[in-house]
Amino acid sequence: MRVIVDYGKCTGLGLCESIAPEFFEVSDDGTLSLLRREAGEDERSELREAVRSCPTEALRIEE
Amino acid sequence: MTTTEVRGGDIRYDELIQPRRVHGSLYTSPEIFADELAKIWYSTWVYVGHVSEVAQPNDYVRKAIGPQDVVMTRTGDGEVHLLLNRCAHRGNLVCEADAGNSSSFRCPYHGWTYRINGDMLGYPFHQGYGGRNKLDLGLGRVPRVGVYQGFVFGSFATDGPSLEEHLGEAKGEIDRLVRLSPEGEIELTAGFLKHKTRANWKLLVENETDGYHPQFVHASIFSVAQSGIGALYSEKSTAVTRALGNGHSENDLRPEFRRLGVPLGWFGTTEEKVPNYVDRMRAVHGPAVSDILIEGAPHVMIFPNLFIAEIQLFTIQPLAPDLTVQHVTAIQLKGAAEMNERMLRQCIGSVGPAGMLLADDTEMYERNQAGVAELLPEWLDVRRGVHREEVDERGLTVGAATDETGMRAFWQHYKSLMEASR
Repeated sequence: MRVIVDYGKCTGLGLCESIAPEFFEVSDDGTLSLLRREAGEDERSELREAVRSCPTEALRIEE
Repeated sequence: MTTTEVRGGDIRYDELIQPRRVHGSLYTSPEIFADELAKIWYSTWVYVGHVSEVAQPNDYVRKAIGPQDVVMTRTGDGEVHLLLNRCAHRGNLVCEADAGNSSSFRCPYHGWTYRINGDMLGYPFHQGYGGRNKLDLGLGRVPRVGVYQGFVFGSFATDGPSLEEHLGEAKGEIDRLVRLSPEGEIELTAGFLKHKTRANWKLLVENETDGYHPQFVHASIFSVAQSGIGALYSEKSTAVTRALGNGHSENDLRPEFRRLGVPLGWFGTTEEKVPNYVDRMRAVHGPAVSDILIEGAPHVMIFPNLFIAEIQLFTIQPLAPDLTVQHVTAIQLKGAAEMNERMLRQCIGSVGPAGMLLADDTEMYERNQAGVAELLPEWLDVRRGVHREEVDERGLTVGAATDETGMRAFWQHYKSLMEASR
C-alpha cells in the first residue's frame, strides 16, 4: 500500500501530519514532505485515515 | 397570557401545581419553559436513541436532548458516545447529515477535525497554534450516558440517580417489549418521521397515557379499521392506568387481553398469520409463550420524553413553549420478519404522513395550545378518578382505564424536579 500526493491540490493544511506524523510533515512554508511512501500491515488503517482526512483530496492510496 | 403572572426567578410551582388542577401558564410561560430546560431536560435522564441506530463501528446519527443537537456515535471498541454538535473553535455545527458512517467529523468552517468519540484529531495550518496537538479541546460530551436494553439515555447532570434508579418500575415495561423478540432485542431501523406540533410538550406527555380521549378523538380510525381498541378505553374495561413512579405511567391493557385470551389479539392478528414468529417464540419461551403473546406490548410514557405505544416509539422534543417535534418510528423485533412487516404497516397507518391516529392527537394538542391562551378559566382539571384510585401489590397507584392517574403522576414528579434547588 503506497500513498500518492497530488501537489496541485495540496495546500499544506497539515491534517495528514496530525494523524500520521511518521508519513507526513508540513514545513513552515507549507510544503508537504512525504517521509515514507509504503505502509506496513499495522500502519494501514492510520494511513487510510490520514488520506481520508485531507480536505482538498490531495492524497490517495495505491494498493 | 393568563391572569396569574409568572415572574422569572420567583415561580411558585406549589401554587401552580395542585392535586386536582394545574395552571394554564405552565404551558405558555417562556420563563417556565427556560426553567424546565435547566431542571428537567439538562438535568434528568433523557432518552436519546437506540443502539441499533449505530450498529456498526463509526456509525453516527443526529439526535436531540430537548433543543440540544446531539450526535450519537459508536466507536470501534463498541462504546456509544453522545457528543454535542458544536465545534470547539467558534461553535459552528460540525455534523450535517442525519446519519452516516465516518471515522471523523470535520467542521466546514475551518476544517477542525474530530474523532468519532469527540477527541480532537487535527486542525489545518497548525503553525498558527504553535504546532500540532497544542489545543486541549474536543467536542462537548453529554456527561452521563446510560443504556438499558439498548435504549440510550443521556444526562447533563454529572451526578444524581442512576439510569436504572430513574427508570424504576418502567424497566419492566421495556423488558416486556424486548421479550416480544425471539432474540430478545428490538431494532429501531425503520426510519423516523418528524411531526411538527404547535403545542407545549407537556400536553403531549399527558395525553400519551390518557385513556379518556380515544373514543372521541380516535373514533374515525377505530371505525375505519374496525378496531376493538376503543372498548379497551371505556368504563366497562378492566384495563388500568398505573403510575410507575418518577413521573412514568402506563395504560396497562393486559387485564382485557387476558380476559379475551387471544394470542396476538393485542396486535389485531392471529397466530396463523405469523406462524414462523410463533414457532420461534415457542422455541425460546416454551409454554409461557401463550401468556406473552396474549399480554402483548407495553403502552408506557417514560418521563420526560420516551413513549412506547405498543408497535411504535415516539420521542418528544420540546423546542419552545408552543413548539414540539414528535419523532416516531415503527418498532422492529429482531428475528421476527413476519411481525415487522405488519408493525411497519400499522405504524404507517397510524402515525405516517397520511396516518389517522397521530394527526387527530396533534389536532387536539394544537387546539389545546390555542385554548390555554384564553384568560379563563385559569386552570386545567386533573382530578378524574381521584376518588377511585387504589394501590397495587407493588405499592403503585392504579386508576381506571379512563382516569387521569398518569397525568397526576407526571405533575408530582415534575413539581419535585422544578422545586429542587440547583
